Amino acid sequence: MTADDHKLPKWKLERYLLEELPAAEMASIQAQVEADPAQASRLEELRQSNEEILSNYPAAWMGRQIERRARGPATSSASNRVEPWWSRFRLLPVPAAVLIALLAALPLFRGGDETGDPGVPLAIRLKGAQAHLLLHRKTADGDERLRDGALAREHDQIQFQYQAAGQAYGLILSIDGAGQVTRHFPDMGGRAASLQQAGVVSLEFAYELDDAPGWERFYFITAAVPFDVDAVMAAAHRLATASGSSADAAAEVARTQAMGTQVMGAQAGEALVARPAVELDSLDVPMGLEQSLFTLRKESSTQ
Amino acid sequence: MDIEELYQRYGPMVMRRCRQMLKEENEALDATQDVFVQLLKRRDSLKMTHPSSLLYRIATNQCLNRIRDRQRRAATPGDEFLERVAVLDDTEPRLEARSVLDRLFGRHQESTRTMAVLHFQDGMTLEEVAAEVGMSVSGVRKRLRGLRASLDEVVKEEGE
Repeated sequence: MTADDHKLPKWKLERYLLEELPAAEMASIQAQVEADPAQASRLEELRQSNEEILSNYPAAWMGRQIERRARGPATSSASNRVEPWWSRFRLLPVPAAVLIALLAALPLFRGGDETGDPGVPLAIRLKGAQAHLLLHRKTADGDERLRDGALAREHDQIQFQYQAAGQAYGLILSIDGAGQVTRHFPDMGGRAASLQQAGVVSLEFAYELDDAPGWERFYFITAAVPFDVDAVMAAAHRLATASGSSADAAAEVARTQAMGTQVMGAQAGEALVARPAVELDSLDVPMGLEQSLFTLRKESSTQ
Repeated sequence: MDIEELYQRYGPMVMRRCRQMLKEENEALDATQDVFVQLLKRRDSLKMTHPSSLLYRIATNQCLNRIRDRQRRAATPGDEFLERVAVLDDTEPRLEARSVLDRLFGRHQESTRTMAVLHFQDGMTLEEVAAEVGMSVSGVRKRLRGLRASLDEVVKEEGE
């Protein structure tokens, strides 16, 4: 606690800024702020912090997240889901040109075949012994292994396995089509988890998919040395923000198709693989970190 | 109650409080959302005469719960004082978790641990804590005295 804090506690400065103190106290603090540049500076820092927070977590987006959460577990049913974020651009209308460009670019970035298998994003195609994820879906009599690009649906229970391939530390997170970032492993703490090296390692939790549209992208970030989770999560949030418009585009295509309209040569069901272009799939992680991606397509509720 | 308007005005204060106590951005955001969820769920019963005061205490209580959960999971070490305060409800099960809102509805008194944070860490005087939680100064003093012994060592270190 600094001398300034003793002079004017933070909590009181907060309420002064909100103008929720008794009149006499408001006047007293105003006099202090005017007389003392240090106090004025602290007040200015609070104002700037307000701008930063409202810019990173806009009210419209937070309002949706809060209401969604208040409605109950149906939309946040993962046992260890660290909700939030984000998709500021979801608030913006998607210009038709953006939608068209996105759709036109899709075939360039999908490594699929003629059967419609979306394949693996080219830029992040797994390389030989690279650390990677294996995903399984719980079934009535056990589980089934999922291919990258497999179709999944709300309430599917996903189980994770990883192969460290010599990497010593790792982090698993996902971004869904609604722009939400979820940290899966480790679910707490500021450092990446220590990885086991013995072949394929199963994690002791399952993740239930919610009703987010379009896709769920699972990232496995690894390194030979310990690394901070925050920088990677920040990259995920930036990507979620950047791809928010793509999520809207996918939703727009789905809506259009539901109305029976053919859009720019997209074939039936293709809207569901309208995930962002590959470069938009990559996380901008710090140097020295490797990433692998596993994408699940989400089945539309209209199907 | 328009949750967007409330967040627009009070969200930054709540977020800063959660950041200060939890020291982890993602969890602070998670906690901030939960603070407003609590408001939303009780919107018909709340009397929002001093939203900043109410939200500040809900956020404090929310963060203490999370810090306590962290400890139980042996997660990231954090602020020693808050960790000591956070587990106080282990000896006060009746006051756990629901305390802030329950007090608002007149069923229970404010959580002692929240008062401890307001007084020992935020620097509120006993009078200010009393005004904050709607208790008498002597009532607050009595409640805090009960846990003073267990916190003395940490409080002394905080003051050094």
